[in-house]
Amino acid sequence: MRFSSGLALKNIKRKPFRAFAMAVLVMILSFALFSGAYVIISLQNGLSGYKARLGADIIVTPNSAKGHGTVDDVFLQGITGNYYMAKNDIDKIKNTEGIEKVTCQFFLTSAKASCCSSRVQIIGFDPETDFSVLPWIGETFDGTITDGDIVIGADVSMPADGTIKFYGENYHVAAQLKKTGTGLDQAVYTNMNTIKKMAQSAKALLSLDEFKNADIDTSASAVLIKVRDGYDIGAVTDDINIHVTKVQATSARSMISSVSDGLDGVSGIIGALTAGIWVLSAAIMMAAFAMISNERRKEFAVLSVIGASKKMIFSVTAFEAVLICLSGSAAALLMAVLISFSAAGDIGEMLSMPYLAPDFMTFVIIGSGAVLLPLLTGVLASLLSVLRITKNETGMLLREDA
Amino acid sequence: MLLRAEGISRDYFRNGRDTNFFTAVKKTDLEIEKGSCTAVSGRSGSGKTTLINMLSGLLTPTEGRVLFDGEDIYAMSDSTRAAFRNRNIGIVPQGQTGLKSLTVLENILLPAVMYGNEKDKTEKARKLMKQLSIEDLEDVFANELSGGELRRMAIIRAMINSPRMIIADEPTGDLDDISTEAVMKLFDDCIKNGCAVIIVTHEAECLSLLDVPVTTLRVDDGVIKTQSR
Repeated sequence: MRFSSGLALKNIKRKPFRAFAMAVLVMILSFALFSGAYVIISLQNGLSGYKARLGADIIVTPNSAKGHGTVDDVFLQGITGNYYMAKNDIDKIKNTEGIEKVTCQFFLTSAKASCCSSRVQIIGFDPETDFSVLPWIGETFDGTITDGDIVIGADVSMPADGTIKFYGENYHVAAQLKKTGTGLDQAVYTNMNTIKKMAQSAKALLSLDEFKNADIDTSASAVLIKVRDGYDIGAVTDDINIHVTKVQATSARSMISSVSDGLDGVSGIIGALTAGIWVLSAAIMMAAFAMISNERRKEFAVLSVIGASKKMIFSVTAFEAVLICLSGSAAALLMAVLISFSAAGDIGEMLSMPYLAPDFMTFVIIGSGAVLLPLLTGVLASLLSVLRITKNETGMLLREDA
Repeated sequence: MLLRAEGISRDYFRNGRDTNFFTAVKKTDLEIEKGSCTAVSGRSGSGKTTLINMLSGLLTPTEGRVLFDGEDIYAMSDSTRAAFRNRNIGIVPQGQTGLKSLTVLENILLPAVMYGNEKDKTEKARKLMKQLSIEDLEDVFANELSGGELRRMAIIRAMINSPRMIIADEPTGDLDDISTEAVMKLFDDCIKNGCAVIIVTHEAECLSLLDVPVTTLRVDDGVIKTQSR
């Protein structure tokens, strides 16, 4: 063992360019594997978070939401908008057959002005009827959201004094939510009383067009519906679209499936690219190790002449491959980790998809795979090329060389 | 009897010829005594190297067997034969055989280091290097040496484990007269200490530098004839 590792180290030290070139090759392979797997898993996590957070079967928004920012946009990309539907329409929706639960949400976009600390989407929910936001808040906060309290998404900066100003009033941050990888992470949540107070202030301060015809006390931005067992979600959705004017009902399944289809496409492309890079790198590694081993026929013959068994020659080359592959993989992993962390938000934004980085354990598993797979490929490539040479007797190798 | 070859022969296969194989060494018997010197001579391509490769455990005979101290070396596993060779047979192959990533001293000590027997070998290596006038090259890498220096390094490497037999293929080919004399003196000492030495050489005059009787084997077209003792 000491002989094999010692000779392997000396070989690497004396042939630094050869070792460096191989390490770079391994680095490419390792980086492609890690990044590919990391992005695909993050997208899948994002979709899972998105599914979990929607909570509803049907989401209804006013037609005026089109062009501003649909519920889909709010949830996925954090694109905000102020749009409201009248009480009359909400009542019609509530009276549709097949509905088990219904809850309203009120959206308000804070202004980028001195009256507000930051521009975010504020979502008001009704704690009495809510089945979408409260289960999520419950994961990090076990208290009650009282009037004047707000709960902030994972991407909203937690203020030092624990309050955020909206339309001239300070609101107490009661909790911060767990990350979902969706636009929900950039939103602020509060109960209906609080958001309507904010809306009244906004109306008074900014005289927004959206509030001209809206009765703040009775209107809502979105109605979230749970369909009763035995009823078809599509049929209930169609029923609302047909019978309630000026609103757009969308089944959550169709929202998810459009995201899911997009994710399948993106994952497929990333997966194919990763596989392509992997196959190409593995083939280049095989060829490179074969070429290097061919150059070293004489060296292997000499080792055999002085008493090295085939096993010893294998272990010298395997040690070299392990050292080269580990250094290449470690560099790739470091690079991939830095890029993944620093560009996590950008990747999700670029792909316009829910994007949630994997947890630590998954991260360790992906990292181990990205190190082990190139390591195994490198060691195997090296051993196969040595095997090809050492299957000849030493006398034959010396004869070829003479 | 240290080494006995019983009916060994070797065929080589080659492509693109009228006949697809030829016999490099025809069926032959051979005996090598402890503390003896055997010179192998013959024209290029006559089968000299094939013969010594078979005797040193590097090339399996097509027929026959090679017994070292009564043990059939080709019946051993690869690992056992390699360790056996390391312990008992010092080989100086044809051509340049230094490992480029190692210094001269590291190359010389490699057979000892390989099986963890390097204790006290450094002093021996330095003594032998001095005898062959390469003591100043201890820390020089093998790829920086001349042909003659590499050859002397390979000869010392073959002797470092104090083997019971040394097989040297044209050991003085790259050497000047003074180095040749020093090498033959080393072989002489080994033989006097009970080591059997087999030397393949085209240079019959170098054998006259030995102070021991020499058995000469003449290889002619794969046929081996004992010429003189």
